[in-house]
Amino acid sequence: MENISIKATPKTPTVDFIAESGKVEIKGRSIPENSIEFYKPLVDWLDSYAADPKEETEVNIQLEYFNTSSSKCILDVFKKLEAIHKDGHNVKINWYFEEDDEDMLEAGEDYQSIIKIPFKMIETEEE
Amino acid sequence: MNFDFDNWYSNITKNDVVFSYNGEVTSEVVNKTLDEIEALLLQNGLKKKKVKRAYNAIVESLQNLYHHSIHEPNRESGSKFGAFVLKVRNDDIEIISGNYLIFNIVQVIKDRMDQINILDKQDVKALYKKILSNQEFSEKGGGGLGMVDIAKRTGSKLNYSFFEFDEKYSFFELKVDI
Repeated sequence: MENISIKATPKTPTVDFIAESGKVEIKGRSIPENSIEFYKPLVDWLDSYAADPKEETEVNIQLEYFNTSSSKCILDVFKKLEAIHKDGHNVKINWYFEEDDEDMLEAGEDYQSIIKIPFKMIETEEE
Repeated sequence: MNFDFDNWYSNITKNDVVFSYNGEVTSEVVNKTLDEIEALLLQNGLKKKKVKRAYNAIVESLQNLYHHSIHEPNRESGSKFGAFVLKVRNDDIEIISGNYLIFNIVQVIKDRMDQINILDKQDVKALYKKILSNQEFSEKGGGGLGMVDIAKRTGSKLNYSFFEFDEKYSFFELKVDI
């Protein structure tokens, strides 16, 4: 299957979904007005990937900002990953937050409590 | 007395204004405003954590205008008319946004805001999670989470007002303090 590689814009994140290595990365800002349009291909990709996932899928989410409409779409991404995990495959989620950014840590904790996969919270230094 | 936009706008832009805009709220306007504002906030020597929190509330406020504003009654100012003002005084940031709406949805919005305002911090967080996990979007693409998110991040009550314009339209004002 084809990988997804999207470069960041001021309102949308860098995306790298790589099937061969089982790597799923979203980094940067996610504040588009229409988040569904941006996230639909990502959710669809995970749907296809779920049919034959790698033994371990590593997920790195490193967001600086995300708006509320993205927050629901990000949950959709996690739900797809949860399904892969439920099917007996390893899914490792790393949630990055900048030092002192309690809001971003809390956002990760909110997702963790909805999704039944353990999250690793990783603090990064302020840029 | 009926709402007078020019009067309202001149009142809210009297002091401490670092950015102000009124007019058509297009996607381009939102982009440009966000670019300018981030630079302005950082220039003001505010702490990064505060700037981040403010930026998030600004994104929600502007996108609220983008999704929900309507034309200015009795004037030719485009189909999505809104006003947005950012004030900084010492370490305090105030975000004011305003838009017209049809009179008959005022009560619905008021009720929703009041429901959020009676909740304590923990309950606001719980409500946020509840709406987040309830996978629905409004027809305009908003998730219904914007106001709850603002209340959650700021830890303060939603400071809103409605001003009657005529029997058909009202004006909605939202002030957010960071």
